[in-house]
Amino acid sequence: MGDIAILYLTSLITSLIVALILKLPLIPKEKPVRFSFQTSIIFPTPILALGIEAIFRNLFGNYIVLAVFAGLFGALLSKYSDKLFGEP
Amino acid sequence: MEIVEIIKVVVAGIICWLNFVLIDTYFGLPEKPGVLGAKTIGEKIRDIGGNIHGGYFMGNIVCSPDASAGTLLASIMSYLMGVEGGLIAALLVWIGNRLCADPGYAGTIGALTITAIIYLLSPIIEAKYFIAGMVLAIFTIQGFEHKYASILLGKIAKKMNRGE
Repeated sequence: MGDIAILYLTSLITSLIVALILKLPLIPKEKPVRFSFQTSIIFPTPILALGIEAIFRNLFGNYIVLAVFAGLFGALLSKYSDKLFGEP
Repeated sequence: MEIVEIIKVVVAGIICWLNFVLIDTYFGLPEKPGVLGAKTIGEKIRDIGGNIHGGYFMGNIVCSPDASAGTLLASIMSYLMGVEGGLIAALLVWIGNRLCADPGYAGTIGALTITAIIYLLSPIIEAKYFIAGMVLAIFTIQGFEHKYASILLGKIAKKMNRGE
């Protein structure tokens, strides 16, 4: 159990650091926030990182390197979601 | 024994109903239709004597995965895989939201909150009862009686300052 918590924490912290480096805003700048498509550090970056880490862990096993990659992919998916899904 | 199971399904259904209706209303589903289909459903429900904002709410539920879909998917994934399943459900709901031109706040937050609720209540009510309960909860909104369901949803929206 302790191991799994460390893996999730690793992916969470990695995603937050990468999101900071990619200059995502902390919260969306558009108001009201609930209609904003702009991605930010608090949403949806951590959710994507934890979901990807859950998939990686169940497919490949408990590796700390995979947790780092899950965080990286989560932040990248959050940053480039407009390019992937099209501008709203 | 069977009576206990029925009570568990009903209690889980009430929890699911509160979870998705409150989160969807908070994130503004009754305020405006996200896509054209939701607008059409809302106007149709207004024409049969319902509330337009309740109608938009019901249209938005149909047209993109919001907190009701998040609640159902997270219940199923929690039943299969535990808390990790709920995290995967939240990721997939967000992807589905973006494909449907929806920012994705309601769906992912709904999936995460029901995952937390199922985890906390797992010694008393197992995840399988939440799957059955969510089917009942969505039936009361979308299947049973559209007119009165939309009026109730409109009242909740008004109370939470979302829509008129």
